[in-house]
Amino acid sequence: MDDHAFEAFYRKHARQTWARLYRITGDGAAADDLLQRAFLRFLTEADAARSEGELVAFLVRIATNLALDDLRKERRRHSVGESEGTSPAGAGQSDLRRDVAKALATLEPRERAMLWMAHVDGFSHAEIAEVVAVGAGSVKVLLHRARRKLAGVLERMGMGPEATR
Amino acid sequence: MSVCERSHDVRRGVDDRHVTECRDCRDAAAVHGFFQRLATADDLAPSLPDPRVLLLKAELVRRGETDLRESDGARWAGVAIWTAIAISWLVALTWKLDEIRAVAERLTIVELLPGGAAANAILVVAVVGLVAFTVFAVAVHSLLAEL
Repeated sequence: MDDHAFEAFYRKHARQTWARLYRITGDGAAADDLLQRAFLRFLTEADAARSEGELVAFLVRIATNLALDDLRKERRRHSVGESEGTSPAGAGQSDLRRDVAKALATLEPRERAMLWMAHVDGFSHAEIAEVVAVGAGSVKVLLHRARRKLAGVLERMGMGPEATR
Repeated sequence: MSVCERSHDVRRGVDDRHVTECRDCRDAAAVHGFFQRLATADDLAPSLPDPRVLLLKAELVRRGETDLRESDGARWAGVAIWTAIAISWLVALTWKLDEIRAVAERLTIVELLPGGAAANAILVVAVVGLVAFTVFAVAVHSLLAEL
């Protein structure tokens, strides 16, 4: 991938990648660091001949796995609620942002990553399975559990289907 | 565990009546709406690094990897040379120790001259060559270690 193509690709996907990393880790500083590492790995490993869709899937895989590996290695449960304060937006967060953080904090990092891939990236079970290295059947069950858990929390917070639609 | 087959397709739109009646699809709809809002939320303002900085860093990483590969090659070449020297000495000292000792005892400058000790000329040349090569290898190794 030449420099101009990379710059265009980066400007299109960096923000969304950062948002993904931030929602998985719940930590703005960690998301900053992971974003750089993800794009560096992307630059050194991406095959320029791939289509943009494949490049995006490749970037998603790198970024998600880096985030999950870091969280696993550190064995630190990043509570989204606790670390929301480190977000670049800084202080003065709204009630809604606090609620969002609290709702996400009820999920495991892997569940957050899987739900993001399912509901934001529009990945199939097989594609999610490839990223998180489990069987497609397991992805279906894990997603179901994560959805049930989060939906329950959202309903208690008054952010059920009617509110979020 | 039985999961509604249509729950994963809620994101593409499933009829409202089914969503109302199916718990799995209701959950999926709530979660889908929530994540859609997260993805489009503009309350986060990350300071993204300049892509040119990332390109530069990637170039440095690539160069570092190339240097590492090259130094790996040099290290393996060094190991091969030292192994060859060690085997040569082992062979010489195991099978030709007596001859080497005999040559060493009567080794004079005259014998080293052409036509000096015709009988042992090959052995003398081989031993002197091996000694010279060992000294040369030690010198090169020391010089490279200093760099």
